[in-house]
Amino acid sequence: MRSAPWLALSVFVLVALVLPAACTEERPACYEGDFAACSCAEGKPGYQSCLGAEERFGPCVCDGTTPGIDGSFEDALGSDADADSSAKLPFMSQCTKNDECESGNCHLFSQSGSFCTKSCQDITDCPPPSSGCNNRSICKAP
Amino acid sequence: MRKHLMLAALACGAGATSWSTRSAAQEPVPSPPRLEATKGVAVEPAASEPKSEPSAPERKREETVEVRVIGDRADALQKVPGSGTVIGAKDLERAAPVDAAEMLRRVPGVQVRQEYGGGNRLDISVRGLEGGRSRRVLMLEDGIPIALNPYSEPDMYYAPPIERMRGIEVVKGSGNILFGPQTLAGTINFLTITPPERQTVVADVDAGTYGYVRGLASYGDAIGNGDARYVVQVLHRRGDGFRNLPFDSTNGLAKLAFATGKDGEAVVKIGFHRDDAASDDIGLTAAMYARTPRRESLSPSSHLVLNRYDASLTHEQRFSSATKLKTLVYAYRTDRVWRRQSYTRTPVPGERYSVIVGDTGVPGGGIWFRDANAILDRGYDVMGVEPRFEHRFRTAYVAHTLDFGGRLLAERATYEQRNGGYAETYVGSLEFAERHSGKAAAAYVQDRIAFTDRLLVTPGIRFEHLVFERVVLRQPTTGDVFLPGEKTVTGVIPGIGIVYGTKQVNVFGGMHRGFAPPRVTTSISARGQTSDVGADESMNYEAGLRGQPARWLRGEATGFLSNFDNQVIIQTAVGSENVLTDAGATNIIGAESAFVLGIDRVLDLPAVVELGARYTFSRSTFRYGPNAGNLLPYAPQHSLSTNLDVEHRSGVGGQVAYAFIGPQFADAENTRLEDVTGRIGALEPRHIVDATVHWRHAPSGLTFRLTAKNLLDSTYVIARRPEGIFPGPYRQILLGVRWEWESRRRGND
Repeated sequence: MRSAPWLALSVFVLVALVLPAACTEERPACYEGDFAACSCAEGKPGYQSCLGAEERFGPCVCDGTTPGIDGSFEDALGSDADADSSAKLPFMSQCTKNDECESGNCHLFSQSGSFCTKSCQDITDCPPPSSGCNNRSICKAP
Repeated sequence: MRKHLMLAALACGAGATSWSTRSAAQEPVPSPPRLEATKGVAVEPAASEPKSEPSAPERKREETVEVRVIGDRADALQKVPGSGTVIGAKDLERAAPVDAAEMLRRVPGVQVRQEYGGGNRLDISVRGLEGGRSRRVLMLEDGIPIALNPYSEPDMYYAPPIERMRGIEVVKGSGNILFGPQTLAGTINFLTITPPERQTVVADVDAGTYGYVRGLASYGDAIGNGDARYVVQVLHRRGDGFRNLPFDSTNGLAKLAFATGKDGEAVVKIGFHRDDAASDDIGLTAAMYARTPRRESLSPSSHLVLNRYDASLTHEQRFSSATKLKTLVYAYRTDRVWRRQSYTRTPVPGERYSVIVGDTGVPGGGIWFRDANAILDRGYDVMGVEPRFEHRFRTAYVAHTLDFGGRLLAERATYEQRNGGYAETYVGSLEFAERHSGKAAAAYVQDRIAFTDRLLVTPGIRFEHLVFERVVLRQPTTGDVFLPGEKTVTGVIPGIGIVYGTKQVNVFGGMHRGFAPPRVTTSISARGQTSDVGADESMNYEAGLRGQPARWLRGEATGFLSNFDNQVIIQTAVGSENVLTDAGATNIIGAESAFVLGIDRVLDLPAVVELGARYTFSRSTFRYGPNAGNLLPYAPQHSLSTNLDVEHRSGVGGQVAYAFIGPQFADAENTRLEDVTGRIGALEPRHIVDATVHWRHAPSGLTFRLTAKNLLDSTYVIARRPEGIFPGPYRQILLGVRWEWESRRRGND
């Protein structure tokens, strides 16, 4: 019985050491519907939207729009929040909305139609079949 | 065991009186299994007034000179003209609270909002009054004001840590007029630890979820032949916060008690406190809360640093067995710099935002954060002196206890607001600057008249006079300016309380004028002109019954009514700036009750088993205008708290506590439907269960405890202000160990 408090103290120290760390919750990097500012080429502002299912931000969209002001983000994002990320379209696939693309960016190119694209700094960021990086810092359509 | 009993007695300080250990109407009945101290309560019939109190050398050594709003004596509450509650050291020990809010919500008639994980701010509402930053409640520590500026900005941005307390006193009736300037509904007096009469060491460590770690070290001893005693305590705690708002807090306290002659004693106290904590002012929108109620802070870069330094001298001089003078001299400084990330709910084309959250497609549903902030840099100084006389005398067959005294207080504040170029800066460019100063004089006199052994009548009056000045020194549009404004506020606050009965059972009633001076920033405009926002003024009535009808039961029930000519509340209308505004005439009517049932005494159990419960009904309504009949914002009609305490002689004990807060509204219109921003709408009732178990091993002085706060892990909205939805604290598990050691040497043994 004499050793009981010291045994308890030892157990306490062990548990106390791990308790604060062990119970720290994992928090997502972002929540669906969030946007974060990002940098585009030539210092132009862009925004990246949170990929809700993956709890991370998608690629930087550098089309000069601000979410919530001109509606472009919302139009592009659509409302299919539960889309399966594993079925998303790869780079330069034809698309109709952002959620369909792995990159989260379905862009309407005036000559070619809508394709999944991503932000870029130069042509090295845009593998084939893209034809390069345009002056709005997104990869061009095939 | 003997040593441990001494330690328990020491922890109980001057024999604190409480509803769960002892109350006014209860003479302490020593019970062998009980660990609580049974000392320090002098049993004195009320009719014995005036009777000389013990002189300084006769007084228990552990007691120190301090200003009490109730006191320890067995009949203390009986002598308070109005309702009152004392939370004692044993209550604190059993509950193992992480902050003062946890204990205060066990006081009938008191609502408490705990805002941050560190418990560093308290919003306390007494009997339905607006509770923002506790500015309508007089907050004291050892009888000394602790608000930023007690007269012109009585906000509680600093809440004294519960770890430096040995008790809490709450007075809600006309007994308030002995203290001021706020006499609206309640006075809360925190009692700090006292210097021991033996060499004593305490070490206490807690660790828990959300990265919570707390360490406390305390050392005290007597010097020489025991005429001087001291205690030094340092407390540090940190945590990640349940909303991912990390905090880091350090508190230091030193007290020295010494004799100043045969009939005099003094206590010098110095303290330091620092908070370094993430601190946001914007909550979740309705859609965010519906989707992810436990979403972390939207503005993690918002941050607050607060430093507080205080020093005080409390001196008591006994001129005779019937006359004594207590003098308080104190000064404290609080520096607070708070950076808050800038945001808007209505974005502007072309403006750059760093983070955008919420439903941007719905007006008001999104929040656009800028990579910029507003830095509110403020400093507050307070200096005061309070002589407090007590004189006992007789006129014919009537005994009098005359309390009279006053206060001279000077306070000063400096405001700077800077605009920061990015969210994490504390530098920024100066936008606003102003300074405030106030000089206050107060006087009071109260006579407790014992007409018979059973009848006490206590009339009193308080006078408050305040002159304060606001000088605006810089504005964003005009640059440097000099715009002075001055305002004078005077209050005459009469009150009377009547108690009839014995210590065991008595009825009481009273009425008093409620008064609280207006804040300087709402009564003098930024252009130096006085505005119409006035002082709070009310008439308060109460009547109640308290007593101990059986050895195993004691209780209290009080009805109250407050008629406000003007009540100042926070403007909660959407689009407003959350400033204070006149609510005009309001009514507060209600009843509060408390009882403690000694189950162990009923069933003759070999352990302490006590059930305590408190229920409050409070209906606070607008009397006139478009909202006549509506409830005041954040004024729940029903609240209930209970606790079951178990303490076995083996050292094993524990407590389960349950608290219920009824539904509330967030606006004067009593809007039930939630608006898109989350600022308006009903607040659903909440249920909170806390539990703690401990094992005390007396020979080693070790105590182990396991505590769960919000055991059921309830998710609830605790507030919709200042901007949006703030959830209440989640479940937190704490593991703690305390070691206490006390020398066998006592004084000059």
